[in-house]
Amino acid sequence: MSDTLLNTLKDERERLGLTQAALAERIGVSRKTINTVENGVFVPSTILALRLAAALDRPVEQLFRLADQ
Amino acid sequence: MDMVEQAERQGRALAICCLVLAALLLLAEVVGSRLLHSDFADGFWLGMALVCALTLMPWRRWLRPTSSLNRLLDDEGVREHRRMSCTAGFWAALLAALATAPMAHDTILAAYDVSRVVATAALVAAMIAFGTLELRAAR
Repeated sequence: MSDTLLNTLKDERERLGLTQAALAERIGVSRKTINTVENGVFVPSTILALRLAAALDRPVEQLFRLADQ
Repeated sequence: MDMVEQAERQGRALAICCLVLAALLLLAEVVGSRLLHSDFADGFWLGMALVCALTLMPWRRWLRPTSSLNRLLDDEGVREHRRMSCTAGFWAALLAALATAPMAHDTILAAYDVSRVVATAALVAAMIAFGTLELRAAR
């Protein structure tokens, strides 16, 4: 089973016309954290993933999925 | 300037500061142990080591936990970078200890010099790792 996490964060953010900084401000993290999550460098905690899903108005499983699923 | 932008600038400044401090600590160790044996050089190295150790700690958040800016400066991403850099520091310290142990055993190096080498290796590795990770994330 793969442990690589893929995400559609950038697409969903751009769908709402948000910059990384604007999304960061909405969920109370730094822009660097949004950037690293988007690039797949950093795997967010469940809390952050749920916050991102709420801010982007999408279910969390639509934002994140495992590479082999 | 909004809070996110302010945190971005301060985070970048801290990352650059980490790299500069790592270079200064390494310089203090090399100069102190090889070229200049004096109380001033020893004191300078000790001071630099303490400043480096403090830089790696989230003391701003400890002092003012309710500040929004401090929360952004110590968010999930930064905490992960701090964990990774401390791991890098641990391995560097272990390698330095293993490398200097035979020299200490044969009394080529004094215990004080060994402890300085180990502490310098740990701090320099941690500071470079933290600074690099933070600057890469800020791109």
